[in-house]
Amino acid sequence: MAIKYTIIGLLVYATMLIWLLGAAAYLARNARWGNVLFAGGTVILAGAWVFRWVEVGHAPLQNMFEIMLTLAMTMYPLWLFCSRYLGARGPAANVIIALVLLVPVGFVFPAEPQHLPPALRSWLFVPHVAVYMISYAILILACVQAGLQLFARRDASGRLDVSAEQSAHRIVLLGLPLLTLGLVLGSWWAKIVWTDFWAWDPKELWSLASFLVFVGYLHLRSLYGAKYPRVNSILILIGGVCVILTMIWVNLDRIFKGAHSYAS
Amino acid sequence: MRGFVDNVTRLRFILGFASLAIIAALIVLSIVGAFLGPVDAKVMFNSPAMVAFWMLSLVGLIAAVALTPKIYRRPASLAMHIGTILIVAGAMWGSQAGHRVAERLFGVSKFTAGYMVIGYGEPTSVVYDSTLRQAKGQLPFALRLNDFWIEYYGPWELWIDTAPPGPATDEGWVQTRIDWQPGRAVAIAGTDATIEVKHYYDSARPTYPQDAKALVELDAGGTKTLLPAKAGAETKLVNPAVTVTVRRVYRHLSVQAKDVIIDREGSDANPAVELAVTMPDGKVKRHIILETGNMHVGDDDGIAFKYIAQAPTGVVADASTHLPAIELLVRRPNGPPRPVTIFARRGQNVAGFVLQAASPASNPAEREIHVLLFAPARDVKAYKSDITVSQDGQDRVHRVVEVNDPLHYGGYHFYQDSYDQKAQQYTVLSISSDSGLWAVYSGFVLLCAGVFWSSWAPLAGLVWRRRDGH
Repeated sequence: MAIKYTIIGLLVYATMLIWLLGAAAYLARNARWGNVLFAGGTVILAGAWVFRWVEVGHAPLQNMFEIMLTLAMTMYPLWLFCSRYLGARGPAANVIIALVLLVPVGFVFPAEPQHLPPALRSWLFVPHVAVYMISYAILILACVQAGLQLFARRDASGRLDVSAEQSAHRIVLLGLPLLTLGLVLGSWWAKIVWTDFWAWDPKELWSLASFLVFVGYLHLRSLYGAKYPRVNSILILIGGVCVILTMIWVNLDRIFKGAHSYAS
Repeated sequence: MRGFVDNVTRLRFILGFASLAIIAALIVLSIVGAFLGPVDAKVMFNSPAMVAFWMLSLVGLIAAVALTPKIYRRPASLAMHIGTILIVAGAMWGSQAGHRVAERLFGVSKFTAGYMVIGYGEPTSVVYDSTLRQAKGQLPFALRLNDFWIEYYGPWELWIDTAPPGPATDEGWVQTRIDWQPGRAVAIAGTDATIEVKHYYDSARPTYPQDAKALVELDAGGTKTLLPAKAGAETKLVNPAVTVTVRRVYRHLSVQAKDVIIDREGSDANPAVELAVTMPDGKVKRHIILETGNMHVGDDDGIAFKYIAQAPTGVVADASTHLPAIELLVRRPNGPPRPVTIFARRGQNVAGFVLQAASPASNPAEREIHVLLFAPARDVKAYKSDITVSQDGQDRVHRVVEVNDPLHYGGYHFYQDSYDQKAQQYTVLSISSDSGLWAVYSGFVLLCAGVFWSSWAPLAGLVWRRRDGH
């Protein structure tokens, strides 16, 4: 835990503060102020992102500091889209998750600017990582909807409110193609840089597991529809856990040695 | 008829259930594999039991495509399922087991993977295993290394190496880095000298006067003889009793193929001397002594050869050497300023000169100080191997191979893997068969296209309607 006394550090802390206020606004049922603060914090974070790009000379997607910063930055625009068109709800949860994502960015991950090592100097670097980050943000939104569905109430005639289940399904449909593309780009890139398009390393296997959980969810929904909304929601949440494990644990934990471990 | 429809429905139900079971099994196996680590996971996923599982998955996928209207009637759904089939089939074809099957069925014999160790001037077809010692076989073509070099993000670093006080010793030297900029003079602690960088060359070579004389030192059991590096110069040694003759002098030696060595025009970047050593029994052995080392590593009959370089008189930019040089001006209060150029040498991460010699007799406080040019080893930008592929006596492909830019030839990909860390005299390329790759890539395209279309098309409709509705 260390405080970053740099311009980027200060921008990140400012964003965290603003988002904290935004969460308070949402919880106090003031959606307008909530949106303004969620959006405003995102703009400041985007400024930090651009600043970082200029500082390191390449897209900020190389280490955990940059990746989590990018992920947090995408939360608001995706929330805007999903809430307007796909029925997503629960803005407080979303801004709190974005805030939690920024905590390790602000206090844990080292932010030393690094040059890209030879292994990362490929045009596939930006698409592979960026597509994955956007898909992760989308699937996190889906998990929030799935969580909301688990707490859904029955109305007067005993019917379960399925709007959260539906919006979760739509959001997974939004995110899965990007997850697939990220996996495919990663595999293609692996063939170019690591001699084989699949190395069976832990990060690959966890990302495959994450992908398959959502594929399994869509197969299940194709067969049974919304007949078992709780099962659907739990499956989405399991996928979310796999995504988090793919992202965080494998990058940091020494027990998972593999080709991706240069990321530390 | 009814019975048939019921059976098909039942079969579809079973397929649906089977798809969930196979997906679930693969999820569990992937997580287990993540805990096992890449080596053990690879073994597990290629084991006979898993091969049966993959076959079952393929059969299931094909059956699903054939029997489910939801799949075969929708192009997007069809695309993603066929894409998946292609990926699994292509991956199986490209695996080690797949290569064995290909060998048995079609007589096609390829290495699944391997390594090649390619030294300067030594065309090779040999493929090694991962220990780099056990040869697995030979390719039907050869690769030779024209040049290997490392590119860094920044210029090489200038360091001052100061000896500890007291008698001469190898330990306790103190290194300080000089933050240099062209035109700025930096005072050196422990001396009255300042150093100014006049010019830094990213890639340069030394220039020599026309009549410069290099020497070859022959060290036979402690007795040293010097031979001028001039064609025809000859000397007789006593122990061993051989005659050493200079056959040829090179300014830039370049090996084109086995036994085809030329002197590259217009460059002094690889000075060398070719010697003929005549044995007592009349046999003649050839030795090539490079300024940077000896080409022939092995039995030298009790003689150590060393190329003693001529002193360069200038420096000129030369993009082909990939070796930097730095022109310095050393100023002292008494005496004229002394220009010194440090040239980086191939295979060495550091080069330098002695700024101040140790002289404990005259002034005990004056310590030995070296000025060093160091490669910024932490900031590597690229490892590059200039490779030529030859087959049936003809050069086919000439490429620079680096990480993220492999060479594709003859059914294989060649990747920059490693290099001779001591002297940069050879490069290590890893090779990988391209069998099954086209199926996998087509599968990727179909899978992605199918998933995007089938997932985003209904959402697009939703977005469109919501926009109109508001």
